Amino acid sequence: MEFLNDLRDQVSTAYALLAAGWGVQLLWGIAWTLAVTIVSMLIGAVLGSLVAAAKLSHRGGLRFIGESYTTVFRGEPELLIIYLFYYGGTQVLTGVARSTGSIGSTDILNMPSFLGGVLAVGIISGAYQAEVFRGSFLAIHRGELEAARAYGMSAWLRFRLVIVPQVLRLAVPGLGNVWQLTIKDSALISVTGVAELMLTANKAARSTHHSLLFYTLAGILYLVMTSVSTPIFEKAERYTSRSFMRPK
Amino acid sequence: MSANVAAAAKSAPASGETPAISVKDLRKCFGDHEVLKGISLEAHKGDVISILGSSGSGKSTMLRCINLLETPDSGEVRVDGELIKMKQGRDGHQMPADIRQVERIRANLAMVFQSFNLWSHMTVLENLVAAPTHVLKRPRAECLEQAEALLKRVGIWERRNYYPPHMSGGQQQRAAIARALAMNPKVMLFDEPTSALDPELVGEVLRVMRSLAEEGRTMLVVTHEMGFARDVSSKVMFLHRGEVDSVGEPKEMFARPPTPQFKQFIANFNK
Repeated sequence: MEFLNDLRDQVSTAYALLAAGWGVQLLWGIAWTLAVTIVSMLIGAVLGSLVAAAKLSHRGGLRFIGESYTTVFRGEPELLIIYLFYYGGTQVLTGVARSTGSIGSTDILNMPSFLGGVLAVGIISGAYQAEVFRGSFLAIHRGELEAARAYGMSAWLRFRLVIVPQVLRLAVPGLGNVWQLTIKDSALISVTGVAELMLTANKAARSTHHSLLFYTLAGILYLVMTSVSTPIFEKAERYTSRSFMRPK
Repeated sequence: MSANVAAAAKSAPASGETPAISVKDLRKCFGDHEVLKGISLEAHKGDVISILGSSGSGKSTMLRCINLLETPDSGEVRVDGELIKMKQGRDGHQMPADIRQVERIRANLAMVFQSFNLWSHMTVLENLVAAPTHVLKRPRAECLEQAEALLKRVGIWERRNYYPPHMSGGQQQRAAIARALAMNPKVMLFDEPTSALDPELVGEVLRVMRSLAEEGRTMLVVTHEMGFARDVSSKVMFLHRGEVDSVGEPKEMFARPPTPQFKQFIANFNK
C-alpha cells in the first residue's frame, strides 16, 4: 500500500514539474534533436556520396582520400570530432577574425553551436553513409549498367536514370541504420550548447534534482524517436523495392 | 559529315553500297590471352549474319567491340561508313577519341543481351521509352505510342506495367528485343539471346527474331541455335580460336562444311 502511495506521489510530482514548463522544454528538445539529425543526415548524404564515388574511383589518389575519410571518421570517438569542430572551429574563426581586424585582439568569435554540431555529426554520418552507398553501387546488376552504355546513354544519364534510383533502393535499409546512429550522435552535441533533448533533460535533472525522472523520460523519448523511424524506413524500403516484390 | 561520306564511298564495295557495319582486322587481348586475332566482317543492309563458334572463340567479344562495350586493341570499326575514331590512351591501350561519337553510334546499334539486362527498377514500358526519350530526345508521347505497338508485336502488351523481375525469361527477352526496336536501330546486335532461357522458352524468342529477319532488319546474331543459323540467316560466320574460320551461305555451309573445324563443330551439336 505504501508503495502505491509513493508511486502516486511520484507521478503527481512529475506532472507538476512537466506542467511547470519542463514539458514544453522537452518538446522543444525533441524538435531540436530532429532538426540536428535531419540536417546532419543531409550533410552526410552529400559527403557520403562524394566519398563513396572517391572510393570507387579508378584514380589511386581519390581512392586514398575516400579510404582515409571513412577510416578516420569511423575510427575516432564522436565526442572528439565534436570538440574538434566546435572548439577548434572557434579557435580558427577567432584567429581569422583577429588577423583581419573584424574583432578586437582579446575578443573571441565563437563557432555557432548548431553549425559546429551538425557539421561534426554530419561528417561522421557521412562516413557511415559512404559505406552504405558504396555497397549499394556494387550491388547494382552490372548488366543493367552495360545496357545503359549500349543504348548510348552518357555518364550523366546513366547516373540519373539507372545508378541513383538503384542505389537508393539498395541503400534504404542501410540508411535506416545510419539514421538511428545519427539520432544518438545528436545527443553528443549537447556539449556545444544546442538545446536538444539531451541538454534539456540534463538542465531539468540538475535544476530540479529529479535526475531519475528526467533521464528516464529522455530515454523513453529517444526510444520513441528511433522506433517510430523504423516503420517509416520499412515503408520506404517497400516502396523503393516494389519492382522486386510480388505484383498485387 | 561530308568527309565521312567521302571516306565511306572509298571503302564501299564494288556495288557502291556502304556497308551497315564494316570491321577490319579487329584484335583484342585480355591479359596475355589473345581473344581476337584480326577479324574482319562486313554486313550490308538487310543481312542477317549468324556468328557461330565454341565458347572462347571470341564471338561475343567481337560483337561487343562493335559497339565499344569492349575496346579493341587495334583494327577499325565503321558503322554506316563512319569510322569510330580511336586514340592512344596514357596506358598505351587504344581508347575512343570522342565519347560523344561512340554514344551516338551506340544509339544506332541496339543490343540484346544474353541475360536481358532490362532496367529492373523500371516497368517494361519505361524500359522501352527511357533511351528513346533521353538519348534520342524524341517526344515522350510518340515514344509511348511506339512502345505499346512494339509490345503488342512481341506479344507482351498485357505485361507493359510489370517490372522485369516479375516476368519469365522469355517475356523479359521479348521485352528487351522491343526495347532495342524502340531505338529504330540501323543494326541490331544479339549476344546469345536464347542461351539463358529454359528450353521451352527459346521458341517464343526465336519466333520474334525470325519475324525481324523477314522484314529485312540488319542483324548480327551470336548464337548457338543451329536451326536459326541455317534457316533464317543470310550468312554464317564461324569463329575458331579468335579467327574467322569460314564464312558462307548457310545452306551450303551446313550441307558441305568448308573446314574440318566447322564440320567438327556441327557434328558436336548434332550428337
